[in-house]
Amino acid sequence: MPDYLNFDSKLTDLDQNEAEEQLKEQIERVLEALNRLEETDRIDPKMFERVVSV
Amino acid sequence: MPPSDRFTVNSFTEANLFDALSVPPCSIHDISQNEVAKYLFAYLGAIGVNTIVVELDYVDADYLDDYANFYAKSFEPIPKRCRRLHFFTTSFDSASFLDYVVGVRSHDLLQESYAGFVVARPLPTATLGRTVLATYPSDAGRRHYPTTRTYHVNLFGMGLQVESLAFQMQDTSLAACATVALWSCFQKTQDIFKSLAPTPVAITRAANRLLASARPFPSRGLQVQQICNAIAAVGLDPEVYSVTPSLPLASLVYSYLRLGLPVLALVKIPNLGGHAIALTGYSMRDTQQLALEGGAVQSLFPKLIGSRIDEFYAHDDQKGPFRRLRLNSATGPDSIVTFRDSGWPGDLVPEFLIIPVYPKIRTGFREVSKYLLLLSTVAGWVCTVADFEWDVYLTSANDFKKSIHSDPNLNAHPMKEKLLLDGFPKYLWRCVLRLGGLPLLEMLLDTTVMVSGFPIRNLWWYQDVPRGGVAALIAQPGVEATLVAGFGPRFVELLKASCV
Repeated sequence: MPDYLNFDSKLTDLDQNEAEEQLKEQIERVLEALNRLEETDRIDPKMFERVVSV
Repeated sequence: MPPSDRFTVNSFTEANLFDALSVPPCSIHDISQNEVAKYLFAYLGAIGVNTIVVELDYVDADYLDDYANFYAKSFEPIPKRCRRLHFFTTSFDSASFLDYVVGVRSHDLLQESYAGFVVARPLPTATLGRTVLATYPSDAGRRHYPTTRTYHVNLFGMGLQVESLAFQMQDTSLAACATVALWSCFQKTQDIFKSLAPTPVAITRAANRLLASARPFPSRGLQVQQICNAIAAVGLDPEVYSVTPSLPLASLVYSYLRLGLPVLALVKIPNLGGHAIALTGYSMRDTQQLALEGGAVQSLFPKLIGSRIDEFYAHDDQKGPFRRLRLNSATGPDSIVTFRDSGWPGDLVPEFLIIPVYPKIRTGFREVSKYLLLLSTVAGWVCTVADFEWDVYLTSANDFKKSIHSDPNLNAHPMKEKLLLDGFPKYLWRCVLRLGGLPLLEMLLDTTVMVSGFPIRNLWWYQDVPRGGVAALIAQPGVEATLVAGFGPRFVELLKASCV
């Protein structure tokens, strides 16, 4: 399971302050995951020179 | 009756098939050594073929183009006519066939049992020209061939049709593996987008127009850049994905196949080099088949529907049409899904996936992925994440409306009327989050939005309790502001509207 979804408590089970704190942490983790997603998506231009010939 | 010089009718046996395929100067020995011909015999047997009708003198437009551009200028005389073999699951003889031709009997029976055709070219190493064959049956709904189209066939005046996607063997004089795979892809993109479907010779020329690393003919292969050039030449855009451990490979391929778009897979064959095949279908099981779709995928996404895929079907110009590829799960954080049982020695390692798309489909799977993360987070507030499964695919607005018209999950749902009456862009990304098999929420994304835009058009919940839970949470003081700061105001506005 992605770490941004992996928390001990559901937000709906927490009081207002705890929910807000956990939400902030969750958002931080999601934004990290989005960065990871974007980084891995970049294609090295040299890859476009790869030949298929079999 | 005396034998005709226009056709033959024979029962389906290996000897009869190989004899029919051996157009001089091609010998039966050449055919019997040909791996694709052997596969063809097994394939036709598996789909229940019983009779072969051969048109003995056939002019094939694709071969004629090859002939005009290459073989006509060869010193060695090479014939310009072909044969065309037609396959039927029913049994009949020459006299009965002639009755169908002249209308003494209705040819409806022939249509019911028609399993397609193969053009046999007079080329010893590339005998199978345009090959249009019926697919395997669905096997209780697990096999899907969304890339097929209707081919209309005229056999001595009888109109026949077959659902398929054209295949042909690689003729190394004129076309590399990538050229032939593109040729198959363009058959279907023509059907969907009304784009051009050029011959292999024209594809090879287009690929070499801007970037000629070597002489185009004989063709020795294409670079990825040249493949992109060939796609641009038919008026489409190449959507290119490099296969990494973060790419949910099976789900990505599925998401484009669902619209009917073949996916060009560039693979590495151990000790041989790079090869191109066209992915044309998939087998979807009821339970998870891939522990990992990519080593790093599970750190990014909850389960995606592609993890239930156990096989792809591919047109491989050196192995045959609708060739089965079994999927190997990724095995660790740095590994990717590979293909086994492909007919090649060793497992095929995918390196690139390239999809020819209509230029106005600007939003790709990679842009859609971002919103899966956001919506998974929201749904995770109120539901058990371990039971999530995202079903993500490209669809047309017309197909989307047809499907919701009869969707029991939307009966009496307030969104149904709105979705049916609203205008949509021609193509949409449809993303359904299911929980234990039942839809929990759905979003539609506009494919025409630019990368930096906000593509979500609609978002709705199927179940009231989780929707109410999310609404109550957003209503808490401070939560909405925190969400806006993290996910942006447009996303939060849409989320709030979906909870009303």
